[in-house]
Amino acid sequence: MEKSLFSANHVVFCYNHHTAIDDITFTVGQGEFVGVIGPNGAGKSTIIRLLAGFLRPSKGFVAFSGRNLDEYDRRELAQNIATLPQATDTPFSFTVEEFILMGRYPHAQKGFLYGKKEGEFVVDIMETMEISRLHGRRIDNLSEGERQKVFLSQCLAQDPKALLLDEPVSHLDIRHQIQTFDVLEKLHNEGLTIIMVLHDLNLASEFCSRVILLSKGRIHSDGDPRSVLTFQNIEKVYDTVVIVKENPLSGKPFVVPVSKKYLKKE
Amino acid sequence: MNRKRKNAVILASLVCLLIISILLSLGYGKGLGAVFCSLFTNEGFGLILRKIRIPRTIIAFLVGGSLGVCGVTLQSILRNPLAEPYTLGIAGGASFGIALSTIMGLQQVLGAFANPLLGFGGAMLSVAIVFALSKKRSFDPNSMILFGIVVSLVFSSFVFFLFSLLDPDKMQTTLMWLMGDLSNLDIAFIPIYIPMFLIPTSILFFFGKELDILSLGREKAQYLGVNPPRFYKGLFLIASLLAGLCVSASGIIGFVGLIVPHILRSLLGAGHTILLIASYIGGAFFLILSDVFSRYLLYPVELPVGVVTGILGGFILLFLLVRRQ
Repeated sequence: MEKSLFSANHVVFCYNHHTAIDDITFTVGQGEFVGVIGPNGAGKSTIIRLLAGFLRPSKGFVAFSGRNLDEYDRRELAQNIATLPQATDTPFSFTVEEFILMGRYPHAQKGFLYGKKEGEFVVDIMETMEISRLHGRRIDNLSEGERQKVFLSQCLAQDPKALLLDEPVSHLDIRHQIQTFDVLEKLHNEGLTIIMVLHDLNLASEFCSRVILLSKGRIHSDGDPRSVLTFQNIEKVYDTVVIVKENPLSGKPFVVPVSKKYLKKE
Repeated sequence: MNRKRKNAVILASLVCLLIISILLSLGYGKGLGAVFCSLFTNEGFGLILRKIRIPRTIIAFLVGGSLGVCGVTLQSILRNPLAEPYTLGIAGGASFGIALSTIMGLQQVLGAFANPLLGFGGAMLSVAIVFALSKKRSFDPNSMILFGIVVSLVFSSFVFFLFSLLDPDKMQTTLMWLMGDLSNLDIAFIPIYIPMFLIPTSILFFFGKELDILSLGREKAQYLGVNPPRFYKGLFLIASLLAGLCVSASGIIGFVGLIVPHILRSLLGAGHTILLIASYIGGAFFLILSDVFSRYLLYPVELPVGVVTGILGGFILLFLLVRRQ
């Protein structure tokens, strides 16, 4: 098995007397592409925030590269892990370059301005992400899909070892969804470790090498898409009848929820 | 790069405007020749220059610039372009301090020090209250703004309560002060004020990168390697200190900290490093110019400068908002 990058050890997280994460243990190896799925309120976003170090476990601990997250300072953590939370927003209209440049903050020297080197880094990333044409635009004038790419570019500007994403495509149309995933897959093939929360089971099945299905703050099942995305697992956790078929192109499972009107009453 | 050049031109024009406003403030009605000729004489206009016009221009410069920088800082950390130096309740607290000093007759005891001292004290008291309340909400921007408004309103009501006890003659000077006034400050304060203003301002200049990132919100800021609670506390304290100093030097001067960053942001973009510097220059220019208006618009009657900035700034802001739609 690959070197483990993240490890969660008996992690419990409670807030306001509500247990959001209830004793979870798992490791994620270097170079994995993990999809975290589960119904609303299962604790998906909380897992991302725990792994990113924004929340501290109430019990247990999270380690990155074998060191407890508590031992890192913010800057060092940001040099290794880039996280895109569900809602990123600012009241000000930064230009695309200014916005991506912020991702260089953990690497840049302290001081007044960013160096020339950092600017060149941003130009390279914009090329990789195929958004060079957005040069000079303001982020509040972009379409939803373009903006999401700019946000991702900011994460990549951190030159991270791991990328944590919380539902990065749920508000995009299918074209931008697939584009985003194609980019992520490319980055994954170049060695980036990716953990993302997803609502869309079929995207998880198609792109993730491993899927973790959460239910009520616990791991219900964990493995490759074929073993996790069975109709038994999904029907139990989501409490919804589904049909699971095989995608003719990729051979991966795809999931179709079944409406009540097609179910025969017994 | 095209944009860099454009921004350099804008900054240079701001500096020119600032210099013009300073010369205007020093030489109005006398001409520049008179300023240079009598600068080193000890009588007539020379005396006026050194005892009145120069100190007043210096204070307008320091207060205007600081209000601009404070506005930028608070707008970023509160993530609200409508935040301004008085958002955290400073105005109410300072007014309360001044009204208190008037009613207790502290001016007779402390002389020229009474108003600046109590104004500053009041401002810091209100900030301390807002700070203590916000701590429980882990400095959530919206709660902070709300606490600021409430604290300011409560203090203002106390001020009106004190006013209802005062006799009208005493109210006149206090009212002038509350409306923002650059004429009352004793010259003795200038040498003390210069470093007190410049040190916190120059500290803020170095946090442009962090202000960019903090405007993305607490969670994202943390993911980019900034430690939000530490920066929130530090930057709030420095900005509040500066705003308190402004209030102590000149009373409550509205709109400078709101309108200057607003205009400059639309000209220069949102990047905070350049915005901080530009807002300092722009704020100083705006206040010095307003002060010239306040002195000579209805000559020989002198208006409180806060009235001028309020009317001028209000109209400019309205014009900009309407034009944008």
